Amino acid sequence: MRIIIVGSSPVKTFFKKYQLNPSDYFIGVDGGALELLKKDIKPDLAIGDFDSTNDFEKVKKEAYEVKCYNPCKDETDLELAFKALENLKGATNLEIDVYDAIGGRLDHEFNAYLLLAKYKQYKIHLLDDKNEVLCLNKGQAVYLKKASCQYFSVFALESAVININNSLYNLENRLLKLFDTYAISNEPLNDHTRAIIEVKEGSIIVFINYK
Amino acid sequence: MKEFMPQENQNKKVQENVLAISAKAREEKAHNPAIINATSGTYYDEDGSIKVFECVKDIFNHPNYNNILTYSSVTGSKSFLDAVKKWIFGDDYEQAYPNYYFNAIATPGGTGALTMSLATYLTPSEGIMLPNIMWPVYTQMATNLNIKPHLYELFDEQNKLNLASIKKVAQELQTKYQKVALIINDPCHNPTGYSMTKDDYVGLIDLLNELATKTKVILILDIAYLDYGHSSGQITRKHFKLLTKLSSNVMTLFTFSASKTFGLYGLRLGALIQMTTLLKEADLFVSATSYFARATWSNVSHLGMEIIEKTLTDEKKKQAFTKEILIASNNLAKRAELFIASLQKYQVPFAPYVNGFFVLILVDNESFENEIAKKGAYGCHFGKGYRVALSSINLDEAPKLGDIIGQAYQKTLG
Ligand SMILES: Cc1ncc(COP(=O)(O)O)c(C=O)c1O
Repeated sequence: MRIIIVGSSPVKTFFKKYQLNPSDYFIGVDGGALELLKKDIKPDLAIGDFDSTNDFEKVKKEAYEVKCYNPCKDETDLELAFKALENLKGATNLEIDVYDAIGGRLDHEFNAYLLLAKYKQYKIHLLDDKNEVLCLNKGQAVYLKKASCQYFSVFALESAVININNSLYNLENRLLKLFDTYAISNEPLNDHTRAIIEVKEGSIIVFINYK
Repeated sequence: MKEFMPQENQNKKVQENVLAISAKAREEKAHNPAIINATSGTYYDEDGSIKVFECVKDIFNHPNYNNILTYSSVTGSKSFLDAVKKWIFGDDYEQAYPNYYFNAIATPGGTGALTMSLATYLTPSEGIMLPNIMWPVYTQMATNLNIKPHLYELFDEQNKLNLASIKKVAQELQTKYQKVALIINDPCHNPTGYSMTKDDYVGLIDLLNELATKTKVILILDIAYLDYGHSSGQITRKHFKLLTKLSSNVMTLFTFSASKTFGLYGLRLGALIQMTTLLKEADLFVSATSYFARATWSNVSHLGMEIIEKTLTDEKKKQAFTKEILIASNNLAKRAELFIASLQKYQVPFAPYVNGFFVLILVDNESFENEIAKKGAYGCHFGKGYRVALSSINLDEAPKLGDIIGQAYQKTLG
């Protein structure tokens, strides 16, 4: 089981890219609920203020659970979805794919990155057609294949110590501080091994650009 | 209306003849030890006495009246429920199933757990899917709650779980009902002795996930005979791990019986256990089942809980009990082997048996049954067959009974 969250960015990826696994848990954020229904998937949870949804009646009819909030709230709809993860047992050990949350308004995109950092206890992946963004905490790592990964970049969310191996620019126990930008535009080295990004201390945000 | 009783209740009659025939056979056997009593879903030792596990004797030798005669809590004690969950899902179940809540409540037997699950999760306007070959009490429970039974074929042509039939019935129900619920009795299905394979589980899980894209699905797993499955249920316990592949829109309810596992038939103890990843469903389960319990049986046998708790929370006692139940379950397998070998000599048709208390002879014929009775053997007419309880005969009687049944078959139908 993975958790699939679908947002309502005008740049749509979910519809094209997502392959159905019926055991996944689906959260539709505002208009994202209709995007799920377009693929004949009933949202397990539809959440948000639904102020920009043109067919809320359909969402109410089809979704297993609807949480509708007053539009004058502090949290964005995406944050409400992340908050709702506490209602799923052990959600911190599940992979969470978030589609259609980036690529539209830049403020919403920046909000998505901030939330990734704020909810870094979860294994959240922000996805669009060509990119994946995720957080890594102390002790965690990602492995990247040259066949699929074009570039990858890492930035600190707090002072971090990291290793990067099998890449164009390897790093060994290197300090990466907040606002450091030197670890941008790296690449896996070759087809035989996968590039490894490992966090020894602190936490980082990783941007992966796919071919 | 002439009677005090409403019309719908006047039609309620216990269809089951098992307990009555069983009493008759027991009575006859008391006068004539040569009688073979293969009627009872109770495990009898080789000497014909009911199996009493050492842990049970222990409590009677050292009773703590405060722990056994007082009322217990409505849900049953936490330590009893924890012990049962560990028994079923493993000591490390919290690590092994990190994404699931396992809330549980003590019930009067597996029967209490089953009826509570129907009453809590279905309304009178809904239906329940039951196998066409089954313990008839399921139908009675559903009818008693005005829930409509819908039958699926248990076996396909390969004598495996008939997933195509489950799918067909479930899809029909999805056009009528807001959710689909089904009961599966595994391992050691009563009355056939079928135990599901890994492939059966994998296929069922895929099917339920497919159904769950349309409506919610409730899987009620009646595991009354868990500890009489392969290696005392270890294979089935492995299959339970596969249930983590279920969508969150499928909820599994396990109904456990202390009657069979601990031989506490008359003490009336069991448990209903919910497996879900959803916090809300977990909370709802706790409140609604507690309410139901308080309003019906109030609380369960404190004595029964004390026996189980004392046994399973003491490592030494638990190991001794594990050994004892393994011996009983292996002994049952030996009875089955002998019985089936002699049935096969006469080409008597029977449902696919894997393990457990019962074998179902696929013969629906009164003179066949009378012929068996004439020879001093008793089984039970059961649906469209004749059920033999291996649990209540011994190793000597097993091949003899096979011969009696085989000869009756040859005489009346061969
Ligand atoms: C298939 C099946 N389920 C459940 C039960 C429940 O038994 P009890 O209520 O004694 O626990 C039985 C008992 O015969 C059974 O055969």
